[in-house]
Amino acid sequence: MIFNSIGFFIFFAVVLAVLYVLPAKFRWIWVLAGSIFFYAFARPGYVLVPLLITVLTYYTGIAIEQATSEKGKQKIFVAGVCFIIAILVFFKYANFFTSTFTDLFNLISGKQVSNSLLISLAAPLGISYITFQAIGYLIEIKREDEKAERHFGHFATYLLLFTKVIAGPVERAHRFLPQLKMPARLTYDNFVIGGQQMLWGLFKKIVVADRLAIYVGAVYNNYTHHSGSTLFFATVCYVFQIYADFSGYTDMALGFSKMMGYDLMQNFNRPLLGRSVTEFWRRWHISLSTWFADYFFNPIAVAKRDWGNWAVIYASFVTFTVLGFWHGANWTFIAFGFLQGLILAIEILTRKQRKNMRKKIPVWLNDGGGILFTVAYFGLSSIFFRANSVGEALTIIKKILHFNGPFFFESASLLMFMLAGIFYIVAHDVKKEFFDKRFSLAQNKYWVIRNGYYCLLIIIILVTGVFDGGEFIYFQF
Amino acid sequence: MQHNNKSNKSFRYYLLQAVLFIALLWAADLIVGKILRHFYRRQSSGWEYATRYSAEETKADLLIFGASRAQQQYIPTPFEDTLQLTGYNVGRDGTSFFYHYAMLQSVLKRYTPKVIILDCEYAALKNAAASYDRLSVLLPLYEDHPEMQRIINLRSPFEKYKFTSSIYPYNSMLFKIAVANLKSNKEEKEDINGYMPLHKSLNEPIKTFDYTEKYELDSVKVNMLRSFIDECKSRNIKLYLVCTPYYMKIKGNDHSLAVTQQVAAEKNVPFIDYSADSFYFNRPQLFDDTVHLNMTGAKIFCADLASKLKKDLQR
Amino acid sequence: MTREEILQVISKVFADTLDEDNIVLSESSKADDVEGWDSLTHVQLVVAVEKQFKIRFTAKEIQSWKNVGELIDSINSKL
Repeated sequence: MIFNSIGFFIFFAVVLAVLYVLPAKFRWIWVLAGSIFFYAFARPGYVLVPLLITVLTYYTGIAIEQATSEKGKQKIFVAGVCFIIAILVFFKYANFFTSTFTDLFNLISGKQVSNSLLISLAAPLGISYITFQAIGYLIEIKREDEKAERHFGHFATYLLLFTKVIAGPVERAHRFLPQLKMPARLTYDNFVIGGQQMLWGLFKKIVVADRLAIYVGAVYNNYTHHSGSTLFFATVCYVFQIYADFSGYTDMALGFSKMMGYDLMQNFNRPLLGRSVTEFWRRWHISLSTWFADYFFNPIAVAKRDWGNWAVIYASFVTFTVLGFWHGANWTFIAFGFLQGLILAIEILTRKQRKNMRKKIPVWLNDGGGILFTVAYFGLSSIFFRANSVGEALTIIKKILHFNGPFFFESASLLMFMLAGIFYIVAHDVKKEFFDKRFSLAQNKYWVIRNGYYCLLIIIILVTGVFDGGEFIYFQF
Repeated sequence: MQHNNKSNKSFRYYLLQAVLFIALLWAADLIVGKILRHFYRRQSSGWEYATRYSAEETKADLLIFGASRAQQQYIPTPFEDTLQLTGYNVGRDGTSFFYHYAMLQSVLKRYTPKVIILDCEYAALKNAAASYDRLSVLLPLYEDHPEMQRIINLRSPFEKYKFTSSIYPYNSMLFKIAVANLKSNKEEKEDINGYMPLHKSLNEPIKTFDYTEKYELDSVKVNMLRSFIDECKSRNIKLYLVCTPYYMKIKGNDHSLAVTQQVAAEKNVPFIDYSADSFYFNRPQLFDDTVHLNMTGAKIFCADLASKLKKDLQR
Repeated sequence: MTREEILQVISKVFADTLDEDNIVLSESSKADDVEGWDSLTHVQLVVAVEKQFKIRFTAKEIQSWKNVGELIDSINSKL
């Protein structure tokens, strides 16, 4: 079930209605039951793997805590983490490894052997999100920063919570678990604030992202037939598409959770207004980037700190390559990660120079230039993210650099919808970033204006949202 | 309670807030929906107009049903001249037998045409979610056309409840409606009796595609094809199933086309197949793309088909 | 050295490393409060502090700091 489906809204309404009647003490049982149903609804078999990881992590956590020696802790920790990663690798990456191996074999031997090990099992929903949360939890216990959770029901509710199954956030156990032990949080305010956030998320998803996706898909899936200018425009649209899609989905996850009384961590903080790529990554998919910073980047950088700047650069490369690979089992994602590591290294090495330059030019020019560069660089990387192969991405970049040929936009109607979508999201973020203290429509003190604004959002969703595949671009070359 | 007076307010206060919000939303939806409806119905050119005109106004003797390969290839004029009948092309791009059948229901409710051409293409009976989604072009007609509702409701189990919103039927049509209502567009007609001309011409060698695979058919579509034929026959409408030329060769036999042919034979309805006509295989200049003739090609094809129909009708 | 003196030395080290003149640290300062102190510069700060005091932290100590006060605790225990 995706959030923007009527089925999910019915499911959620039932979950929420029952939640309000249940005594606070037993609510987690209902949320857990709902979460298990959520997995089972996609495919009954999907329940097993997440449950296995839950049980495994729960007992490993307690075992680490109870181990008496540092060595013992280490052993249990490594065993637990390896097992969890093994599950992830089996479901998500087995095909990548076996086919890379087969390709390599074919290349060396000159034969044509097909990959006989392709696994037809689909990865269970949200497996990588669960994996990250489970590993983070075990690391915290091993570092003795947090206590192991003793209530299995609460722990399972944390790990399996249905609102974060599909697109995160990668919630921290020690941020979430206390919320299950606190008194009732089902308040009117939580309901309204959650509902508003959910609505804005829905808006970004179906008004902005899904509309842009129609065009971007049509262009990228037929990139050989399109001109450089078209590919350039499609790439710009794609940047806004993934931002609107991902942050919209996250806002819905946070909103739905808030309506049930749970606070999940903020995952996006207007990343496209970051003044550098470094800053972009502090604002984009924050729950994941801080996870990597805490459990991956920092330990590596600290261990190699005698290398000076090179420690940070080395850590950036390793972190982002792994992070890229996490997005999917394809070399394009590794290239995406590599590009991030590269620019971060450059930004680290030019820190001082950039700082001196900042003192000499006006703030608006420095900030504007920084934002433009960040968006452009993210656009460049996102070509790798979107393309089906590295070769394809390079061809697209080559075409964009030539920037010629006829510009394709299908129909004026689609173009208008797309530009309006980009306008909404840019206007929203710019207002929040630079004029947050001024007037606010969403939080206006007058009932009519505040509610009129949310009414308007719903009306725009109804008028211009993409509800199904009825809107399409016809393509035949 | 450390909270302010807000959380102490009574249940009745919150209920009132909710009711007021819903009232506001309902009113806004109704007003915007009515405005969109007004301008949708005021269009006098363009694709949405042609669809509404097909369902509500045309009285032509000869109708052409189908998807883009009907809408963009059959010029009614040659048929009118040769057969001495009035003609209109009710095809719509991206649609399937669901649409054709729904359109037939609206037509038959008003009058009985003399001749109907139903365009059939490769993969027309394939099971595809897009065929259901694409019924979206009929949503604005839902309210006024009970005869279409059963078919439009196939879109989803929740479809009939979606019409609670007055805006919903006009979703994604805002700019199309706006553009069609501009004065300049109202005067300039793009179509010729429902036919939407194509003007590019192809310049590439012909390719061969593998159609040996037996994909899954949609049994609902097959049933609708059967009903379409039955309803025409029961009203003594002369029905022709036609497959127009392709600028591609295929290996094997398209599954949908084979089934269509079989149904036509079973129901004793003529099936005219141009898909492997070698005349067109050597003439890329007659095509806009590999599956659509351009206007020049359409003229040749329509003249040829019209004379075939004339012979058949005279028998 | 007193805690106060250590804090002053650290402030100077931070200011030099981050190239920010007006850094005012207190015992409760966290990375979020200090301009330019992020996971990328964190390691550079650690190295600079180690050099200044001629000490060596363990990885575990570095991970455990929640604020400047805890950093001072670690330094104090090594002097």
